[in-house]
Amino acid sequence: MKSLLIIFLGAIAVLFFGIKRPERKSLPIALLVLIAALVFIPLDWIAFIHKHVPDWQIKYVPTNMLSWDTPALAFSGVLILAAIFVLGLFSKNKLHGADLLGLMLFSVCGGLLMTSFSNLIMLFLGIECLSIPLYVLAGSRKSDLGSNEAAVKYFLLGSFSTAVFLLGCAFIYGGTGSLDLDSLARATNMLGHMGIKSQLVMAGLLILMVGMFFKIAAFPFHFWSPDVYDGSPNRATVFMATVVKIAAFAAFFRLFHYAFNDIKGWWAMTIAVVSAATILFGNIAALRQQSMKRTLAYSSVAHAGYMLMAILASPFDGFWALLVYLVAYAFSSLSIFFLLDRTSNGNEGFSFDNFNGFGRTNKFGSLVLVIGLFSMAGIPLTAGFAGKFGLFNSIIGTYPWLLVIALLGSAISIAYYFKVFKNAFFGGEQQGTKLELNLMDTVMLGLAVLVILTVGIWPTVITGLQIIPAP
Amino acid sequence: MELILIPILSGLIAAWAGKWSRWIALLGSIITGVLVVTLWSQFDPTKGFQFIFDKPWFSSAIHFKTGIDGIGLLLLLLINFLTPVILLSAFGKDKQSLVFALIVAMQGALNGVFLALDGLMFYIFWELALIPIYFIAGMWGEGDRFKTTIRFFIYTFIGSLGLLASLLYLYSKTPDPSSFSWEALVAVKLSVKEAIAVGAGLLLAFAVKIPILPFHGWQPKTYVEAPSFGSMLLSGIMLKMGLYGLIRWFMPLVPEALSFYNPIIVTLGIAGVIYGAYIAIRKKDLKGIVAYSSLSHVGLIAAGIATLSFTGLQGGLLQMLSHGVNAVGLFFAIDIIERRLHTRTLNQLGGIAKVAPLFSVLFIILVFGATAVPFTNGFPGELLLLKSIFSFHAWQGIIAGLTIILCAVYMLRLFQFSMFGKANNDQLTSFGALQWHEALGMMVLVLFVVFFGLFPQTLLDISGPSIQQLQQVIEQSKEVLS
Repeated sequence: MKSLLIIFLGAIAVLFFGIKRPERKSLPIALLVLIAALVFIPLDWIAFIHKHVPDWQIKYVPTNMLSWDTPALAFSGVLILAAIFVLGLFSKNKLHGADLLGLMLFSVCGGLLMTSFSNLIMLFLGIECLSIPLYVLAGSRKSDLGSNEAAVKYFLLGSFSTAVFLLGCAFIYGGTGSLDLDSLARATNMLGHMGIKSQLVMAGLLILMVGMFFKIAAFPFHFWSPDVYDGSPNRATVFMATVVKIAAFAAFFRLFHYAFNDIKGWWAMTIAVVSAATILFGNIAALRQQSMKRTLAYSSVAHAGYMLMAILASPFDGFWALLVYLVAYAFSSLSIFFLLDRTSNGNEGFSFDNFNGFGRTNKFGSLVLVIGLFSMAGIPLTAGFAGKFGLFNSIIGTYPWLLVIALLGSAISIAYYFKVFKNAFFGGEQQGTKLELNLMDTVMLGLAVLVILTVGIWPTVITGLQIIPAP
Repeated sequence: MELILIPILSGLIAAWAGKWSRWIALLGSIITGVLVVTLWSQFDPTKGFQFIFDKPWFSSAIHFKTGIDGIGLLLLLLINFLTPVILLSAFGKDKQSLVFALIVAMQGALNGVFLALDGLMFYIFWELALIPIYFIAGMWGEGDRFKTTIRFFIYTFIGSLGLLASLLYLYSKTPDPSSFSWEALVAVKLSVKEAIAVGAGLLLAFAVKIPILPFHGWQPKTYVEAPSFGSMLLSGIMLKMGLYGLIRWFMPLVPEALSFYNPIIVTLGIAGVIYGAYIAIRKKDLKGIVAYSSLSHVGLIAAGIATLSFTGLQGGLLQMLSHGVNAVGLFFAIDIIERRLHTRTLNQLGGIAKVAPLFSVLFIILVFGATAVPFTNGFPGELLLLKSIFSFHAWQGIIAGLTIILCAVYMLRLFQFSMFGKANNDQLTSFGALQWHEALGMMVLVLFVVFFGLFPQTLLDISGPSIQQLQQVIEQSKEVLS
């Protein structure tokens, strides 16, 4: 709650402060705002566990709209952390004032609404609040055609999918008479127990799912994502790959586990099939790309497929698996995109050749590269493995066939992730681009690697946290 | 625990240590070796798993659990004996520090594989062991190394994923509170159909690693194109992961499916014996010969293990050790030749024996070991293996017996054409004496060949009781089923 307020007010402050100043001057403020917001996550967590929610919060906050329970706080924490890294690591924009920073902060606000909504209206608001700044961010390199294309595509498809989502909400409302998560849960519980097949609810569920599939870029609703990822400026791309993915999955998970868990039979199979198709399609398409940025875009489609498994799993297992996976995915994406950004020397050619001879020139850089790619590929002792293991473990009992497909997908993914190693390490004596790292870059990259390894070696640092209520 | 940590840590230090890295790596490796020997001195063969270390790791169900029984101890001895030798073989000053770091890190990962008593931990180290060798083969290999290494990696990775799937399935069947420990996974009862499916996943991982015949596609090229120390790691140590997996993780976990799988493994193993030997006879590249002979040898070992008889398992273990030593020795010798003469094609060599008598004596002993001449380490293992296969099925035993002849053909061909005869290489005169680290490495290996050719019983005594216990475990599970 406090985090949301801080970021919202901070965003406005950053906008005003940055009217006449270049972006790099406002950056520390934006970072401070995010860090302050992050500090309140564990405080709220403890307060929630000990039931010390302050009076004013109960009195003035409409509690049936947002609920800051521990799962919501967990996802919010990861989201804010990812936003900090995006802002801290990525190349600064020289053309603009602080407006892009402000947009990103507003977008994070939308993300926080999506992690903690308890009413479908709030979810809708969150999605809009998250997406609208992104449309602008995608097009923020105004003179570049690709960026403009990305913005238009993202805007058209994004707003269309939001409309579809809204239609789904309307159907659900028609079928159950409610938009509140708790009442929805009661209504679906009744439907489930009495064995009534409500056509309205079923249609609504399907449409809701389509809307969410658009947002997370799952097959067959993924086709916007490679173009948008490719065309957008790097900072916007990595923002979409991390913050937006976290928010969308947190929302998807919350919606389906809180509201529709009792009618799982109605939707589970659809998600399982979509998950399998997404994994296969994303990985196979990624194999055939020449541009590394597009490869990563398709691989993020594949990752979405894996994360869909969490929606299928039992709430408890699914929650932990999803959380670990999101952490792994966010931090490995951050480190790989960072290296890609810095090796491209300002031009926008993102072929694998950027990394030629990279290993000979940069020791620390190659460590980051190796750990990041290992985590993406799910090699043990990195966070990516802990996440994949959690997901696989949570569905093995119910969907063994999906597990087989997911494993096949992991095997395929090796082929394109490791292509980078060929350029970076196996190229003989060639010298590569020297990475210029300032202190902040080094610290943040080091932290990212540390997070990946720590979560990989002791996933209990995350899964050992106490959560109530069990989602 | 420390057997895993010391090598990995010394690897980490060595990676950043510049010119000291080879000494740091060697030191770490030897300390680990000494630790294994001290464990050996405290080891009691009759007691089953010992030196248990058990701490919750990923969750309450997944532990960091290590323990040693006779089977594991033998393999630990092998690894921690061979890794220093491999380090010595690479000891020249021209190598990057990363070489030594990766070799010694691999020692740690492999120790983890052979110590693990928890399914997931086994899987994790199984995967980790793959990574150093991937970089070694990719960074210092020759030819089209990227294609070769990625093929190697994808082959083994798909296998590992099969392993992961099977372990996960078994885990989901363990009674509450579910656990990944070896005992819990062994205790799971499956229907025959399930067992065959689960066994397929496990076998995929092990068969690729061993490699058993239709899964060997990655092996010869990887061996030939990897740098010599990489080939040594692969053939000397990594193959043993697959064979060990067969003994420790395949047979006890899916005893229900053994009557289905064992004849298949025996047949494929023997097919590998003949196939590998046939190609080895026709190869001209020294490394190629050893690579295919390796395929032939491990085929025999896998077949012997799959007979599930006491002699078969004992012979298999013994042969795993001696094959490890011999293969490392042969690659070592080839490396010495190649470093001096810059070729390893058979018809460009010859006459080396005249200029390097010490080297040729050491080399011929290793060749004898590989050919299983009596009183070398290859003999007792091969004898036991053939005996077990013969009593499993007489005809298969006879076909497998051909290995003795075929092996003599290609091994002696390798030695004769490279060492004797007319000199075909103008650099031969500058062959020179062995450097100290080369001589030391070779001598240690040769000592092993001779000593355990004379006293194989010292090794057999370590593993005997453990193998009986393992057989009991398998028998019990079978009885419950029927």
